[in-house]
Amino acid sequence: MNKPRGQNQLDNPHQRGNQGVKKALFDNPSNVRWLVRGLTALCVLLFGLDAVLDRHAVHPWEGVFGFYPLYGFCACVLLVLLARELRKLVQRDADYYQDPHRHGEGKATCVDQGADKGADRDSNRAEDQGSNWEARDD
Amino acid sequence: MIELSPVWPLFIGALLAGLTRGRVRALVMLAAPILGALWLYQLEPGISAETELLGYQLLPVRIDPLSLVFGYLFHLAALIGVIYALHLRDKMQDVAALAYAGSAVGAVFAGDLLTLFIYWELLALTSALLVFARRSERSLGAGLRYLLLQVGSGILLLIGAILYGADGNDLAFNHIGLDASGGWLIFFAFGIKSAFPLLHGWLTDAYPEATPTGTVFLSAFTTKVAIYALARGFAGTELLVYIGAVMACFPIFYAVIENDLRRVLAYSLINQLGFMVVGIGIGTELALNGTVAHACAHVLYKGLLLMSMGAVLQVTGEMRGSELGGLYKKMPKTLLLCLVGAASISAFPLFSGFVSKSMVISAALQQGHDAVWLALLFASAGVFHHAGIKIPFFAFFGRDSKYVASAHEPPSNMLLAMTIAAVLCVGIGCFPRDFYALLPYAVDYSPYTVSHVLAQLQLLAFSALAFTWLKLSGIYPPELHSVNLDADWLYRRILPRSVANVRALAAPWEQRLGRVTAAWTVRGLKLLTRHHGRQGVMARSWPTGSMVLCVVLLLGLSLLLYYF
Repeated sequence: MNKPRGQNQLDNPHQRGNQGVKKALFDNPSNVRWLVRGLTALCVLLFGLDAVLDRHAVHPWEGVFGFYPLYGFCACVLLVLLARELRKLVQRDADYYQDPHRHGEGKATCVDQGADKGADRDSNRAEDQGSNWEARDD
Repeated sequence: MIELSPVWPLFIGALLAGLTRGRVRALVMLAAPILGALWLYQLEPGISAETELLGYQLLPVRIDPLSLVFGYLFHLAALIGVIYALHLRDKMQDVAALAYAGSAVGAVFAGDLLTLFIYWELLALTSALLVFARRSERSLGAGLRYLLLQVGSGILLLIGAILYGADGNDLAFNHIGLDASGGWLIFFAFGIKSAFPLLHGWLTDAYPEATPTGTVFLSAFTTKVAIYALARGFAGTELLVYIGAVMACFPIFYAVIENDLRRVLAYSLINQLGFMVVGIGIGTELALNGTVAHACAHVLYKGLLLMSMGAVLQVTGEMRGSELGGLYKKMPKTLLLCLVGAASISAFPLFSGFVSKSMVISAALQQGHDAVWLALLFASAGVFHHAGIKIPFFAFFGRDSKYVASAHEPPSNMLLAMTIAAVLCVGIGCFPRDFYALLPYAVDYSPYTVSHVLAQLQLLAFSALAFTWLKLSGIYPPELHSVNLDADWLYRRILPRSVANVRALAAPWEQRLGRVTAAWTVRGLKLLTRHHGRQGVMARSWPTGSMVLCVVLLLGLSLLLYYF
């Protein structure tokens, strides 16, 4: 379902500031594709083994077909989805502890340090330049 | 006899490191943990030192199977850390590192609570130096906050120990329990150092601010001493099962959204401590063996991961995932070693985490803690997600960063230290029987059953599949140059703000009080001047005759009183 989008990324390798480096293993998008296919095949195989191998179940749920694979997959998806919500709640500017006046809360007496002040302030944004590995964050 | 204490080689090494320089200091640094381990080997198990203070019997050195495992582990961790830091020419770090390792060794061999308190505070002081050694304003602030909480933990321990002793107990450090007098205070003291939820802020605040080499030492000692102390004093406390489950789960959410890769590892450190705390809470021999085994394995693979990230920091000067990437092209050896650490922390079969973590999970299942078992499975999948995949991915793969062109492998001593840790990670994973033989209890446990291997592989493979899908579909949260609010927010933001607000609210009263105080002070001064000043009645010189008159009057008065 999301394949076309990911595929699009895989077909558009993006290299920046790296002219002096020779082409490496994952600069070739087809290698990344093979890696993803290999992982998918491994998952299918492991899922299938559940039906073949006799599992010694201590807990009744362990005997349920596909319990561990589904739990692992769902746990990670849930983890990321909840982490995204958590980010909305807890994320602040990188210099949050250094310059409380910026947040308009007044009367700040935060005793903190100011290392790297102003450094890379403009990089406070998604690093979504695109590569073989990641999709564009729209 | 005190001269038999296993701490001496490390403390003497720290002293000599402070007096020497260059290659001699490097030799001293290498010799101290090796000689320390040999010294420990020839010591007889049992109580080898006794003394008395204020009627309490103190046992500065007690050697038993539990403390012995941690003792050897700390010497090994110190040796690996020393090799990793051999290229440094920083006396402060060298001295602090050996003294820190010595304090940790002293703490695990402490047979009474007062000795434990002394080493507990020494741990705080020496480890804070490793944070300060980065010599930046950030590290200074983080180090001071760290020191405050660590010393606070020691004070709780001391008060708890005094209450415990005052209740008629001897001060020997054995099982304490929450019901004992002062038990809760000691529990919280251990809890701060174990990074219990909401008490963990110091760890994620300070560890990533230490030097690249300092963080490797930090990850090995403080929290493991606390785990040892909990295992010794509070084994079987059911509350710990639930605290541990929360510790295993909540940091992984932070780890997913954290940008600083060493801070991601700090969160995963808490996550791994959670497994150990669950094991202590369950308290069976299998669970306690699992805790000790996991502590040993964890020191090695977390050290390995932090060393690989330290190497990246050393080479690029950068640790933010948003700025890194593509380094596999220039740092393949570091990548390979990092992947061994990642496989170990993720508990892949044939790697160390698999043979240790499974003991705790099996113990939870056997004791009927179903919800905790599910939480630990969730945490296992999550740790692979953030420490097993995220760390190598954002540092070594992902998009090419600007550092790729200039990156190179770290110094050979760093690679050697990482290789030793990696070989041990694989060795423990491949030969679990030999590893289990070192554990304090004789328990028959086999991790390599078909069911177990298959379950773990399924869990991990589908976690990887989830990461791949989320990444390719753009759902995975991008790395952002930002800061995430955590427990340290309370004392870095809320507390100073609250103090400021209270002061602002009280400002009119403060001014009025100031005015009234000033007025009364002036009035008082005037009164004093009038009576005691140069012209004051009390400062005047009186003739002798008036004194005689006063005495006569007093005598006459007393005569009258006597007469009536």
